Amino acid sequence: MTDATTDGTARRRSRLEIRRATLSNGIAVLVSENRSHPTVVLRLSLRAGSILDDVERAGLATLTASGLTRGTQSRSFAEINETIDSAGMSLGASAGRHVAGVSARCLREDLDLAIELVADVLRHPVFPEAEIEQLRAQVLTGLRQADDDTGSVADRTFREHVYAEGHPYRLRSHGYQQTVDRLRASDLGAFHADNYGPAGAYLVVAGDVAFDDLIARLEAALGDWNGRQVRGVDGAVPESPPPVPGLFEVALAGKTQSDLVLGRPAIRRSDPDYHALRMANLIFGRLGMMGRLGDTVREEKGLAYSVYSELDAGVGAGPWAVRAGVNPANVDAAFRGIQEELERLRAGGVTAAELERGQRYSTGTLVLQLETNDGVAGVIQDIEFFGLGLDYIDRYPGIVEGLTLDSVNAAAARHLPPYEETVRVVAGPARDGAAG
Amino acid sequence: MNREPVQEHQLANGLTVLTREARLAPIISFWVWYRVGSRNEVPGITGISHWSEHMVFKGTPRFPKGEADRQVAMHGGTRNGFTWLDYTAYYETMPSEHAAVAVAIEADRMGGSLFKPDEVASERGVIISEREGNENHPGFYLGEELTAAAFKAHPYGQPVVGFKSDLQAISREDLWRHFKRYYAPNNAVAVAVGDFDTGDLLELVDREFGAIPRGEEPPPVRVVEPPQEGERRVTVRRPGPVPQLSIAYHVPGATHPDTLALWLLGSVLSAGRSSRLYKSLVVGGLASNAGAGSAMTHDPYLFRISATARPEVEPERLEAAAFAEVQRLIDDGLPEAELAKVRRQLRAGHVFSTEGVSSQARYLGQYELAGSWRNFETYLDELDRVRPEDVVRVAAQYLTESNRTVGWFLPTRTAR
Repeated sequence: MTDATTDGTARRRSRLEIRRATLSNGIAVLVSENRSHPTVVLRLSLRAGSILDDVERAGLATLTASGLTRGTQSRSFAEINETIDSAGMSLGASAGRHVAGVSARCLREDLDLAIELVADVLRHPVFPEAEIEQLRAQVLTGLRQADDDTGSVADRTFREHVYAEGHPYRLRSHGYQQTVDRLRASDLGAFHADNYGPAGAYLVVAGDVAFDDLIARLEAALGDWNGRQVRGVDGAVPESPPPVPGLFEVALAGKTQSDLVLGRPAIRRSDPDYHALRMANLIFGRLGMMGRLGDTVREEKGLAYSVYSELDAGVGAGPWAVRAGVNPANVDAAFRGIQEELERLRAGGVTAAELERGQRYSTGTLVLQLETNDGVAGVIQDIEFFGLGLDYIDRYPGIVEGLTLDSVNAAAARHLPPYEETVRVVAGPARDGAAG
Repeated sequence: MNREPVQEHQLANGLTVLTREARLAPIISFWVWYRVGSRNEVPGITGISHWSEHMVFKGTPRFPKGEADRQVAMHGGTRNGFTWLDYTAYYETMPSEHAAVAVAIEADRMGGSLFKPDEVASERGVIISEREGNENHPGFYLGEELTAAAFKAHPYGQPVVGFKSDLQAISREDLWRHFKRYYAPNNAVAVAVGDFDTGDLLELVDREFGAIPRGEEPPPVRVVEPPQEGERRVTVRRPGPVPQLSIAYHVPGATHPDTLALWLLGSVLSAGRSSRLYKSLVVGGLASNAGAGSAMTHDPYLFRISATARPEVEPERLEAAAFAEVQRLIDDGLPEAELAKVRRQLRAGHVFSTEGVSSQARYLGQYELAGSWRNFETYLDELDRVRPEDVVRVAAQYLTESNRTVGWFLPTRTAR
């Protein structure tokens, strides 16, 4: 259990070999070979996320991605499903805020089939009327459930108060009942034609593959794809004007617990303070049993099963937010507990012991993130999306160990808002005489 | 996959230790499984196993409150605990050079937990908050009603999290008695999978756990659920977004020879978008999702078919369509090719799920607590032995009208 030597060992062993190639149409391919288990993960990402949605048609990017697997020029929906299930593989398509993508997980011997299916649904989807109608109905049922879910409603309301109208982070990626209701198969076809193409696309492969052989197969399946992309791919996100702080409540029938969100937009991933603020947030609301927040709001006061904070630093300034689920009678006490911890952090910062613990946790758990091919693929996707460099995993321990008390505490004071400047949302049973 | 064999060991105090060396990554996953869960609870103290799980995170003389969390974080590890019908389990997954930290913390939890009165008091709020969080989801009410109706004698009918009146009443003495009765080495199984030398690890386990005295054998669970003699129905009417259906059939425990046929039946009905229920209920426009299958339990439990209705669909139509799919399988049989497809799905799923050491350790523990870890090792071979007629037979034998409980969640108002 001693330190200096074992930390050195952990660092050496958590190295991640990433090899990179570029297909002839510009698609970047990043590969991590792992011959210890006969499985492969493929994840292709392109810049067709929900930030491209407009208010009237929110949910279009997500529905388009989901629609990719509903039929292609040469395979019906049923044929795709039969093929996937017969190989025991998974094939999925989805969209996030910035990126849409197709992913597959297969046994080594099914790699060719997986590549063929990924390329087919990406390049040749036909968005058949009947299948898209059925998908849309499924999504609408899900949205109806989300609008009855306290956590989803709290998050939706929080975004609506934190981001100005027109800001891409304001809208829910999955859309809304009234917007998805309007979408038709032809909209999906048009979105695909406008936004799916090789520019800005990248493919991450992790698992039991041989690099040269894999690149040749990918070149054959994807190298001649030249989808036109009429919209820009830079994905720039503007600043949102400062939000109006305050308490906003939504009452939902039949609920027992209130979901709370408290926060504000913080920083971009490219901000020089990113690592320092991430460390402050780790100590504040994550480390161990949910950090300092867990120590007081959960352990000391017994107010909540779940209370934690998160920093969503993306291309644009995503929110920093505290989330908790509490009995309606304890809403005010929970906000007070969060307020006390927030003020203590902004005024006094973290301690040297906490920082050391956070640093050792951050560097030590790297190797756990690389336990599975899915974990490795996720790390490489981040590296590519944010342009962190293929040596990022090697540099990461140095970055974390280079954080000082001054840098962490300055970042917390600079970027975490005073309590009065936060947006606070409560979704749950109706409360009388609520105060914030 | 060529895996190292599992080795089974036993300490003098009765602790069973399962080890498997796996050099996939420089990681160890170390677990301790206690043979106690809601199965061991009686009315009045429902939820006590789960609450005890929370209490053994609250400090000992050796690792005062918060210290174990700090130690695990400092050494680059993650940890958690969870409670279910048959077991309460704890784990640390760590860089393997810090295996000693995990073993020390788990042994100390078993031997030295304090259950301080003030900690019991504040945790009551946390436990009730956990239950109330569940209550926000319509499916939680349906699940609680359905299992309560399906079991009239066996404790599997009680919720793992416990009824709220019990959570308000359980005392520190109740919790302490429960802990002393069940948290003994002879009632526990330690599982380690990862990058270690078995001899070294056993030495470590013996050093940390060896001094904990053997406990009295916990009282056996004697109750046997009587056969169900006719369909039962429950309805939950509450505010909510859409109707939900759940149908539960009694099926045997995990060591019964029909278990794999039942798992294959679950997959035939609902694994993937080429499955029977997906095609008839989801593609058929009646539901937004559909699932079916049985869990791995020590005693006889339930095979469930569940679906979320599309808002415009009459519940009766969805229910009839689900029953019709079951009947079609019984009447028309199962083509060999379809079984081959499902077997391949389960085989691939098994390969995917054994990629990391944490999931391997979890499976070994689950299998051991439900019967024997050896069933995990022979799973793929046993899968090959199941014939199409076995799957049809178990469908005909267990998925009958008189053996089922049908549950509906019906919204009392239309959500926005």
